[in-house]
Amino acid sequence: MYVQSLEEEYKRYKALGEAAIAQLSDEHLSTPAPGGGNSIAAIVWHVAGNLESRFTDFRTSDGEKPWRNRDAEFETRTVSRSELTEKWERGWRALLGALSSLTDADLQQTVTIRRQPLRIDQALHRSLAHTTYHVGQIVFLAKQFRAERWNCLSIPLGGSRAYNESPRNESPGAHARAALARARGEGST
Amino acid sequence: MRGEIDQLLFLIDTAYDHVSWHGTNLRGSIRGVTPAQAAWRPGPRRHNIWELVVHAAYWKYVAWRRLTGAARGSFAEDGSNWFVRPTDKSVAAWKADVAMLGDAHRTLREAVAAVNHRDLDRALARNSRTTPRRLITGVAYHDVYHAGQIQLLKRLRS
Repeated sequence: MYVQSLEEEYKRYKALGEAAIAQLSDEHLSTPAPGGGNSIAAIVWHVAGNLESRFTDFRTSDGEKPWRNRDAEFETRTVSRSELTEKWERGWRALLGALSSLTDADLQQTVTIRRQPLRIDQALHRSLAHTTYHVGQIVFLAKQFRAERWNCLSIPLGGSRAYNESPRNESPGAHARAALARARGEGST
Repeated sequence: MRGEIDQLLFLIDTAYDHVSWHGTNLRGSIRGVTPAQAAWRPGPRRHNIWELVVHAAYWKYVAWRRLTGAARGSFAEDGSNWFVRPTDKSVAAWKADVAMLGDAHRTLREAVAAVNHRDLDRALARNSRTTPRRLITGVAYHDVYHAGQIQLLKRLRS
């Protein structure tokens, strides 16, 4: 159940990232953060690059692959939505593929990242925390760009009391579905 | 196994204030933040750092309440989810809310430590899919999600 609970959390944050990106114009995908910080494209390149490197041949090769160029992930880039989606999905495919072959019985075994041995449960926790951290930033920047036109991904402002009376989106999967529906302006709570 | 409870304690502690590999954790993200920084908003109707702190404290409280079965309504503030801040811009008021976050983490931690590992995957309520394991895992990553946003808020203001 440990692996399953982490997979659900990964999918929750994947959906939140996608629900934020879905609300943006193509131009905003590559716009630097105010003050010259990383654009959403740079964050996506970094998250996806990290996931693809860590989880390709997860159990049998070092998590920092020789073909990964981490520094290049942060370079200024102008990308189309389809390029961004393709990059994002490539990272997630590597992760979800690796998770599908894991069970809780594997968690005490080790993998290596940058030649350092690490228990699988610790490697998953590190990865999920890294992903969550950056998805928080994607959502933040998307809100910044959309301003008043932002469709809230969680409980809408002023809706907490009503939500608490009937909490429907408590599981990560339900939360993910609700976030994607809200991004489409369907107003699900 | 008792080890599973320790694993969950590790998750919530590294998300909140123990050394973490992914970057800054929630407590680290507000270290040294002044009330003026905490109160700054990047735009109208946007949350500030102060509100993110109280929001994180609230969800730790909710997780604690669900784990312990305590009655609703015992959070230090009226309302739920988001709370307008600051109502008082003083250092003391900011420190009080940071302390509330710390208290919420400590009481949540005690509740997690008291969970019987055999109950980790049992639904917390009838007609609910929420289990202690899901709840604890979810609240840990909720801290990290907002820590990333606080780091951006600090950078935007500077």
